[in-house]
This record gives sequence, C-alpha cells and structure tokens, in this order.
Amino acid sequence: MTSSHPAGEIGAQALATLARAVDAQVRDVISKAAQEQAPLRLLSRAASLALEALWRHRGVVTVLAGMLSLTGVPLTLPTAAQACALTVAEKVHGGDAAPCVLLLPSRADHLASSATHLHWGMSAADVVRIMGKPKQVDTVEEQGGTVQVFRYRSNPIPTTVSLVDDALTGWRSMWPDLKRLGSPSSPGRLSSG
Amino acid sequence: MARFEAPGLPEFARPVVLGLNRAVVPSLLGAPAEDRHWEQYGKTLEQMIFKRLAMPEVSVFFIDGWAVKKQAGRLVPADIFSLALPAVPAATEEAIDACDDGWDKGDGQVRLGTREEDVRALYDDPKLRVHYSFKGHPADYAIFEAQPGRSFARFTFIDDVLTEFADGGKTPFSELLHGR
Repeated sequence: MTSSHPAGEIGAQALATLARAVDAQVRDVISKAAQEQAPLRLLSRAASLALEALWRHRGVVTVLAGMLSLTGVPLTLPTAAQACALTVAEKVHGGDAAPCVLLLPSRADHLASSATHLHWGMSAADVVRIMGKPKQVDTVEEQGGTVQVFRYRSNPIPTTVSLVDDALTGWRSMWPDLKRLGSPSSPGRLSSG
Repeated sequence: MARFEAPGLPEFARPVVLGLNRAVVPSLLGAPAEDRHWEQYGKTLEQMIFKRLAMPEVSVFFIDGWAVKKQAGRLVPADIFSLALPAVPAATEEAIDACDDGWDKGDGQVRLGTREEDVRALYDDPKLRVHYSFKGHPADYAIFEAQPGRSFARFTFIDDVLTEFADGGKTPFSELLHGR
C-alpha cells in the first residue's frame, strides 16, 4: 500500500480510525491493570476489548480489506480478528447484535505451587517456611482453641490456610479458572444473540 | 477450589455462589437485564447480566447450566472454559525435606493435588460423596472418616485431584452433613 494510491489513502485512514478506537480502550485497561497489580487478568480484558472494538468497527475493517485488495496488498489481520469477523454466519442464537467473543479451548492445566507441600497437621512455622509470610493473618480465639487463617495472594495462586492450635486443619486455593499464559492457538469464535 | 468471585462485586450479587443452577439465579437476583448464550467446544456458555440503579453491572456465567463465575461488568473472559488445578505433589522425600517435622503429625499425606484414589487408600470409602461437574470436568465433594469414630474431613476433588480440604475436627457427622 502506498500513500499516493487513492485506495491506499482511504485504507490508511480506515486503519488509523480503527487503531485509535482500539488503542484508547486497551490503554485504559492496561493502565487500570497496573494500578490493580493484576496485569495478566487485565491484559486479557484488554484483548477482549480490542476484539470487541474490532467487531464494532467491522464496517471499517471491511472497507479496509476492500481497499487493500484493490491495491493488491493481502489483508493480514490477526487470526483472532478474522475469527471474530466470521461469527455473524455462525450465530447459534439469532437476535440483536452482540459482542463477538473470543474463547479459548476448554482445558485443565496443572500448576506447580508451593502450596502442594502443605499437609494436614503442619505447624504455622512450617507453613510460613514453605509459603512465605502471609499477606493477611486473621486470628480468632474460640472455645475449641485458637484459629488462625493465613491468606496468600500468590505462591503462585491465592491460597487460604487454616490452623487450629498451631496445626493445619484446612486449605483452600483460589485456583484461577482463567489461565492467561500464551496466546490462543485455536480460539473459538462466537457471537451471542 | 476454583476461583468464583472477582473483587469489586456489588453486594446484591453475593447470594449467587459457585455451582448454582441457572434456574435458581433469577429467583435470587431478579430477571437478568440481558441473557446471552453461546455454544462452543461442546458446552453451553450463558451470561446473565444484572443491573441495579447506581451500581455496577454484574455478570454471572454458567457452563452447561451451572454457575462458574461472577464478576462486575459484561466482558466475557476469554478463557472461561479453562481450569487451573494444583499439580500432583512432588515425591514424598521432597515434601519431607520441605518440612522437617511434618510427617509425624496427623496423617500427613493429604496435600493439594493428591489424587482421590490415594485419599481413599488412606481413609477407605467416603461416608458421603456428591458427584458433580465443574466446567465440564468431573468433581466430587466427599466426607471421609479420618479417624474411626473420632473425626471427619471434607475434601473437594476436581478432575481427580484434591483442590480443597477441611478438617471437620470432632464435629459429629450429622452436623457436617448440614455444612456446620
């Protein structure tokens, strides 16, 4: 595409419009991610926003594709965006236009965590030795003894450990149901109705 | 346990908990402002969006009709079908090294990621076992008798690995059944 070609100029303008629409939302989400110290979660949201923006501006994308085809330049949108653009014909439920959604394939990942070294009856000192200093400690004196609840924000997954009278009596890991490592190899493409 | 709640949720969404059937949720939160459906990877994903005046929107997500996530806003998490589970624990020797006095307390071998068959080997068959599905993966909530006639413990397995454990102490089995 060259700037002297009319079709190329229109295509460039369309692309710039699209980029602005996407960038503004993604920038906002990434900024929020930095503030909340949850970059992986928010970066995924940014990707979703970008895809939604692409969907909202699908008309622009279509024009851009047409312009580029006139100039003989192949359209090389990311795989995810192409998948998103195909969803109209694949709607399961009819009805009003809804955001195009990118979904990763269903899978279960087994993550290594220091929490797997915890076991029933372990002392608080050993819990701290294995897991590190907890982000938060709640202590309650009850009739049955002293209850301590250690809360960890990572390791690498948020985990809550309960102890009664210095013996581990339970744990619960808040295993994230959203794993955001890497990029989708075969994203699903959906549209809702 | 799988993460269900995200931070920043308004109070009105609190009654919705992991595993609720989709039919129950409108009775708790009222009719959703929007109800979206998708079919993908052999599963049905549903998003109910609830609104309240001057409060953030809340989305409750269901897979095959069971609640798997709730969060503020209406964005659909790209990897809502995915699930992260604890890895099967390392060799026993490593665990002992990690904790020099751990194995002389309690039963010691119950750890995150332990396989259900290994827990059964320790405590025999569970006194109660509720089988269900989480995001299409087999899941079990089970109560085992940890010490005959003395104590019980509650376990949650997803995809055959232990994700949650709670010592029931000396609470009678009948009370554990009522979630006490």
